[in-house]
Amino acid sequence: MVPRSCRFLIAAASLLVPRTLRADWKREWHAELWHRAETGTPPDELLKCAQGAFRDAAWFRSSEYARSDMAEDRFFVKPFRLEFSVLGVAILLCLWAGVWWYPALPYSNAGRLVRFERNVRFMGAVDSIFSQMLLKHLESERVLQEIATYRIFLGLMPGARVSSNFFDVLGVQPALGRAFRESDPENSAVITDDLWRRFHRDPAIIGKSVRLPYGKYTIIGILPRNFWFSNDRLWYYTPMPRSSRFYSAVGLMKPGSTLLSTRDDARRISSKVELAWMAKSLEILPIFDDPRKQEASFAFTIGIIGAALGLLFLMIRGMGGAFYRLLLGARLFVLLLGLSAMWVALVRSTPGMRGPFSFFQLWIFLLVCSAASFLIVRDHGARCLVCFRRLRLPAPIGVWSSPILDQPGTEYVCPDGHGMLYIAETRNDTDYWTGLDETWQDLFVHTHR
Amino acid sequence: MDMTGLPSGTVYPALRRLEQAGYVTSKWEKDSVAQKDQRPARKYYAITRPGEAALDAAVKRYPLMEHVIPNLPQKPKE
Repeated sequence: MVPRSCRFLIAAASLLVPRTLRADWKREWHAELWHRAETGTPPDELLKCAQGAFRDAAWFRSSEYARSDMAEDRFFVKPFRLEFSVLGVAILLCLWAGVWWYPALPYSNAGRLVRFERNVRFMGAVDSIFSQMLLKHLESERVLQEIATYRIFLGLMPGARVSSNFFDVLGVQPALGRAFRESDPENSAVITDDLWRRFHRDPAIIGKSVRLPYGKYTIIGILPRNFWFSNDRLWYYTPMPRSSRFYSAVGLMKPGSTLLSTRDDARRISSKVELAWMAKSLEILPIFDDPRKQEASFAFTIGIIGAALGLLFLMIRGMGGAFYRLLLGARLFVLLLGLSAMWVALVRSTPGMRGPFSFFQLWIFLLVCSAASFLIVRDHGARCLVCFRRLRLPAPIGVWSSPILDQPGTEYVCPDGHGMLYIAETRNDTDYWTGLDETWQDLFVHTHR
Repeated sequence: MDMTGLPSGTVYPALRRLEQAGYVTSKWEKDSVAQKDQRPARKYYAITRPGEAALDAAVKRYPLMEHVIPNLPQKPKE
């Protein structure tokens, strides 16, 4: 009797064996182990023998087997199998990361927080910088309960200069220390949890002077771990210099006010101190847009661009008919949609990463998409233009010693006899597909279906 | 495996390669024979003529093999 552990190993290893050969393979291994068990082989020897089944099964995944006539199609068996697998995994990841739901904002006043923007009315451009004079007027006329200002600065360690009431308006209390006061000097700072980690989370850092980009700062507070503001990763906040006159702003609506009423009031007040067109272009919007729309359009845009590039590639090469090209476009669209969804889920679930559009992260993501697209295009190019099965039996054509008279290349054949694909080895020649009619069918015998 | 002392993870892939190259053939024994003895059917591997030729060439090249495999299996009777 074959021990259960051995039977489990054989069953697990059999997953590597192609489906058409799996039953026969399992039968052979069961017989091997059964006869060994009958001849008195100890259980640990049997287990060692069963472990060898993995190496045997792995041979069916090797390139050696794939080159043989015994091979059926490998992992890229049918178009869309990989692409839909990626999309399926992406959907599960998005469910796990909570992408389908609006992310919780880390501000206690989130429902009443708004941002100011000016619609430039040119290709969707917006301006978020406002003058001190306008904001003072809005505050004095009580259009909003309170207004806080900020200016983000980028660089090695991005941060923001904020007004002393910034954290009060957001409704955020530092986890350690305190927020800004009017009397705080410009070299004081409130740091994020990410930056605090760089100081080994030392609670004694409060009150200490540390060197940050742009100078030495005295730490007065540390923000909660889940706090974030803006899609750029900000590391620390300092008081707004008193000399600043232009900044971005966030406001706290009065209880019971709506966005529309606040906007209308703001425009009315603005028309008293600004030009009419500037007042009309003033917008009061929720503090952050629903990221789901942006993420969905990001994913679809990447998919459509990839599909279009794939179609263009085939059109330039002159390969295949309309359906062949559309199939590649569809494969690239589904794959890139899945990869984009995975990327969005990864960003959403990773603390400290905000928005899929950070420069460095975007480059990594585009590299991954390019590599995946390359694999799909290569796989698609190795398929029959009629039945989309993988082409087989590469045969070298031509000679390198006389490339002018006899261009070197490789010819592949469709296993169903639909045609042959010639792949040129030199840039002087082009690839072409030769369709075969029914008179050739007798030459193609199917050994594995 | 008993003769060479090699593990199953080496012997079986080697058999696959030999079969792929046409040096051995494999055949399942009849189910009736196995059922009569109340055991699972065995798969027999037998060397082919090209296999014998390849073996002769290999033996000439690697004399040590003669000591490891003194008796080669015969072709299955049709």
